[in-house]
Order: sequence, then C-alpha cells, then structure tokens
Amino acid sequence: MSEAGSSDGYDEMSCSQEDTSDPEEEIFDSEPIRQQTQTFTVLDASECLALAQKEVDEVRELLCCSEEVASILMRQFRWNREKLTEEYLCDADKVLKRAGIHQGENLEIVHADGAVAVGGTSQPRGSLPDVQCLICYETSADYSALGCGHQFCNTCYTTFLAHKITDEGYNCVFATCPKPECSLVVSERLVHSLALPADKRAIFDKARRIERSYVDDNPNLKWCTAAGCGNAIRAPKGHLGVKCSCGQRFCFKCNDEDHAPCSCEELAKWMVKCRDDSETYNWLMSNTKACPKCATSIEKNGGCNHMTCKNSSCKFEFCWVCLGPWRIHRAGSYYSCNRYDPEKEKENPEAKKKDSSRAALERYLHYYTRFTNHHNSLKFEVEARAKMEEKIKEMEKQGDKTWIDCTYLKDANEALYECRYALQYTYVYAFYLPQGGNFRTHFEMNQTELEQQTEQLSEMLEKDVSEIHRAEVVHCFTMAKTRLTNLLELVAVRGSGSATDTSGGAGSSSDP
Amino acid sequence: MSDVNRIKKELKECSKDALMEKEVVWASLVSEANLLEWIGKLKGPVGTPYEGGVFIVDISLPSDYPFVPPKMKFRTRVWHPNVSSQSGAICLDILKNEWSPALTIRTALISLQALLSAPEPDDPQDAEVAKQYKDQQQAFQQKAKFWTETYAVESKCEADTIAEMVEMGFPEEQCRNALKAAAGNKEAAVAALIGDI
Repeated sequence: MSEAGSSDGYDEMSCSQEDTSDPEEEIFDSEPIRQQTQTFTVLDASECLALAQKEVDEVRELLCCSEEVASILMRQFRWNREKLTEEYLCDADKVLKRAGIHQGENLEIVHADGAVAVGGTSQPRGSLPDVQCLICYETSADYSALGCGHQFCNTCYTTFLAHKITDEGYNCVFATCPKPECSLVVSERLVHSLALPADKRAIFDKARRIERSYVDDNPNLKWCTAAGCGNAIRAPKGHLGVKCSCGQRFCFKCNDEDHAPCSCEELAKWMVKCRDDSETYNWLMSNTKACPKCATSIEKNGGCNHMTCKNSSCKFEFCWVCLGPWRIHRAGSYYSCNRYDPEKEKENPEAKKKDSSRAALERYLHYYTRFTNHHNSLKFEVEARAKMEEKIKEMEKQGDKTWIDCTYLKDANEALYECRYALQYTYVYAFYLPQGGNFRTHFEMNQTELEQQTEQLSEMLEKDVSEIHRAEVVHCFTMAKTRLTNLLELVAVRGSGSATDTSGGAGSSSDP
Repeated sequence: MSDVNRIKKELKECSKDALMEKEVVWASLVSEANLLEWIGKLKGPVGTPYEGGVFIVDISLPSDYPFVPPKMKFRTRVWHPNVSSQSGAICLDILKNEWSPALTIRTALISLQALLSAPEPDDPQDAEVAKQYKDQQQAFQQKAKFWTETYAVESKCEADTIAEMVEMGFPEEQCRNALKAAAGNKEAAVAALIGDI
C-alpha cells in the first residue's frame, strides 16, 4: 500500500495545490468534484407533467383545439411541435384523420353505470338493437363503438384491447378501431367502460399520461431505471453515467448500469466475452493442460497418464500428472512424479506463455479477475455503509464529537463506493485499449493511483473508531475523488479527440 | 382460447365460395379433426407472371385467433420479392402488426393475391429477388413465370382427374395427395382412398 504523498510527485493531472495546502481547508475551497462533470438534472414526476402540460397548452392555443385533441396530436407527432403545426396548417383534416381523431357525427356507443350512451345521449341498457359482431360473428345487443360507429361486442372489444395492451405495451395508446381501414384511436372512455383486468387498464392509463410519452419521446429525457421511481433525468444526448436522486446510477445512453469510463459498446462486448470466455476458461482449466513443451492445450481423453502431444511439430511425450517427460517414467528410469519439486513450478508459468491462445486467455483473465474483484468488493462497501452508521454512533458516545461532526465518514464511504464502482470498469476499458502507446501508459498510471488511493481509503475506514483521524480520512477521500475525476477526464479527452482508435484496439487485443 | 364458433363460421363461408367458379381464393381444413390447420389456395392474378398458377398456402391459426394473426406460408414455390424463395415465408403487414380481428382467412388470402400483383420491393422478404425485381425487371418477369409454370401449374389432365375423384365424394386435398402417391394413376389413387376409409 503506497502513501498518497509519494504518488503526488508524478501526478500531472491533479492540482498541485494539494501538495502544499492543508487537507482540511481543501474540501471547503475546492468545488465538489462531481459538480464539474454533472451536466444532468433530475426532474420529479410533477415537473415532467408540468413540462408536458405546457407544450400541450401551447399547441391547444395555437391550433384552437381541445386539450384531448392537442394531447393526441402531440403524442402522434412525438412532441415535434414544429412538424405538427406545419402539417396541421397545411392540411388539418389529413392530420386529424392520421392521428385517429374523430370528425363528423358522433356515433359512439359506450356502456356506463347501467346505461348506454349513444352519441352522447344516455338510454337504458338493453335498448340497443341486436347486431352481428364482426369478430365473433355472434349476434348480441351488448356492444360498443367508437365515434366512427363500428360496432363490436363487448367481449371481443375487451379481448382485442387486452391483446393490444399486452403485445404493444405503451404503444397501446395508438390502438385503433378493430375495423380494417378505420384509423380512429380508442378513447379512454371506451377503455374504462369495458371489463378489462385492472393491471391492463393500469398500463393503458400509464401509457396515456402525457408526461409518459413526453419523456419517452424526448431524446434528452429518460425515466430513472429504478423500479417504482417516478423521476426523470435530463441530460444531453450521448451522456453516459447519471445518478437519480433516489440513488439509482445508470447509463443515460444504454440504460444499463453506469459503466464509466468504458463505453456502452465496450461494456456489451465485455459482458458477452465474460459469458463466453469465462466458460471456455473454466472448461480449459478443468479439462486441459498445456503441453509442457509447446503449450498447446491438451485434453485427456483416456485413463492412461502417458500423453503424446498431437501438435505435429511437437509430439512430446509426457506424464499427465507431473507434466515431466515420459521417458523418465519408464521402468528403470528415475521416477520423480511423486516428489514435489519447487523448481518445476517456476518453469511452468513461463512455458504457458508460448501458446498464443493461452496468452490471450490469460490476458483476458488478468482484467477479468480485477474487474470481478472490485465488483465483489463493492458488495462489501454496501454493507460497510450500515456499519459506518454504527461507527458514527460509537464515536458520538466516546468523545465530544456530535453526529454532524462525524458525517465526513459517510462522505468518505460514498467516495469509496464511487471509486470502486468506477475501478471495476476501468479494467474493461483497459482491456479494449490498444496495446502500447502513451495514452495507455498514462491511463494505467492514473488507474494505479486511483486504485492505491482507494485501497488506502478502504483500509482506513475499516480501522477501529479510536484509530480513525478526521484529517487523514478527509484528505484521503478528497484525493481519491480527485484521482477519479482525473481518470474520467483523461478518458473523456481521448474519447472526444480520437474516438476511432477504440475499435481498432478492441480487434487487435481481444481474441487470438 | 381460439373462438371455435368463429372458425366454424369462416369455414362455412369458405366452403360456399369453393363452389363458385369465378372465385380466386379458397380455403379448407387440412383434416376435419383439427380446426387450427388450414390450407389455402389462390389463383395467380391475371396479367402477372403468376397468371395460370394455383398457389398453395399453409395456414396455421394460433390459439388466440382471431386476436392474433394467422400464420401463413407459401407451400408452392414463388419467385416474388415479398416471399422467401427458400421457405415460402411471407412479408405482409396485415399478417403482422396491421392485422385486425375483423379480418378473416379469406380476406387475408385476397390480400396475399393482391400482393402477388403489387410487390413491395422496398420491404422485401427475399433480398435477392427484390434486387432482381428492381434492377432487372425483365429477368425477374421471366424467372417468376418460369417458377409459376414449374411449380404452380397443374397439368390439365391431372386437374381433370382430381375433379373426377372429387365428384366421387373424396376431399380434394386427399385426392391430390393420393394421386401424387400413385404417380398419376387414377385407379390406384381411388383404391388407396377407399382403402383408407
């Protein structure tokens, strides 16, 4: 474990003031680290609704239509107001027809509260004449229709809508009258009059909410991916890691977990590789051994320990157990298979490197083990949060410190989590980084620093309460955060400068 | 649950159509025991390279029919941009997202026939055919015509024989299969059909 001070000497990216200034002052003087990169904002559900409502109101006034029509039009035009107004002013009838809005005589038939409303006028239930449903071909007096007057029995209408909702999700708001060629969209009134299962109706209602489609159709807005969280995030297109006020961290571009500094494509490739190669690796490790001479992977397919390498240029005969040459196993020769020879163990790793496929696998494994190591450590850091609460309480009891005085520990823990979180993905990033070159050296240097700082912080926080010193901890976690920012900025600069060399690197470095 | 009553009614409508000479599409069950497996047939539209051919379509009704579209596939090989020349798979909007439960097997077959006269090369099922349709219209016409003559035209005498067998009271599909199995020998085919009963 290195000290923070020793690494400062060659740390070009971190501010030089850190070497001289008092760590206590620093946290008050410097801007919060995240602030610099935080270009996103969190909107709660009511703010989203207000934004959507504002748009709808403006369209309603501009086109002199009802709010319902304005909402449908905006949804249909995916909130592109310019396109909507332009086309509407050009040919209003066409736009209304395409959006499925009824014009002309209202022939709607809707059952509600024991009565049936025909074109808006209520009459007693059962007073309708029998008609044949065009779906089930049965004749009944229990049917509904949209403004277009195309009648379908309520059973079929319900099943039809249930299918639309299940199959098309939120797109069920665009469901039209079942009559072919009729483009009228189903109304909320009709959906609510039918006996749909509660969960299906809930999906329909959610789909109809203007803020739902407002956010879904806006490339700069995205719902938080946490289950049950109704917040949305606003960020510029192409932005990666965001954090909702509920604590959920995710990638704004791919909706997967936040994976800075590696890109969405790299993460996807990595995940596929982990699925495939970890399996391959496990299988190779448990079923094969490298030929001691040429390092080709060899599978043992019989009970005999006398192996002959099938590599035509090798043909080495060896013992499966000790990997020694077979000739010394023959009767009369000196048999050493049962003896432990530490010298041999030293030779083996060298021999393995000869085989390119094994080398590639080992290269992958190098990054994979580090990735999973940080990934697993993260779980402990989550547990550590709970423990930290305990520690803070303990501190309060022990000395003269108040709870407020001790909250820096929480911040430290949070910083530790953030660093570990990013560290795991730095290994994915490094895996796909082209071999050699200045950037790689620079990146790895930053990565080392971040890793050292993170481990130091981790160690510090695990100490007993009596051994934790505020100044040390604050300095340590501020440094860790600075190093994290430095690393992310370094990657961001490369990403904006030459985005193309990522793919080239991936090709050359991953598979043999 | 598929709507048994509806399927039976569709079947009834289709059997009425079958009696009409001028009808261009027909549909029937593969076997009386299964209401979900159908076989459809359509005449190649006049004025197209498919003219003169009779195209057989395998139809399978999903359990949620008619709320879910029927699955249709050409059994007869067709050279057409929207039909796979290998598998017979069809690319037609009403068999996918544009399906409506108010449509029927018969209307779907009519749409399919319309597709034969108006290919949509911009939404192709078979890229190779679509490319030829766009770049070498004449070669396309020739190949489509050749395929029609090779795979979709029943020889006159075969058709007559089947008609005679149908008059004897056998289902048409079984007659065709029996005739094929008996290598065109009418007596052997009839004997086989009687043997089956």
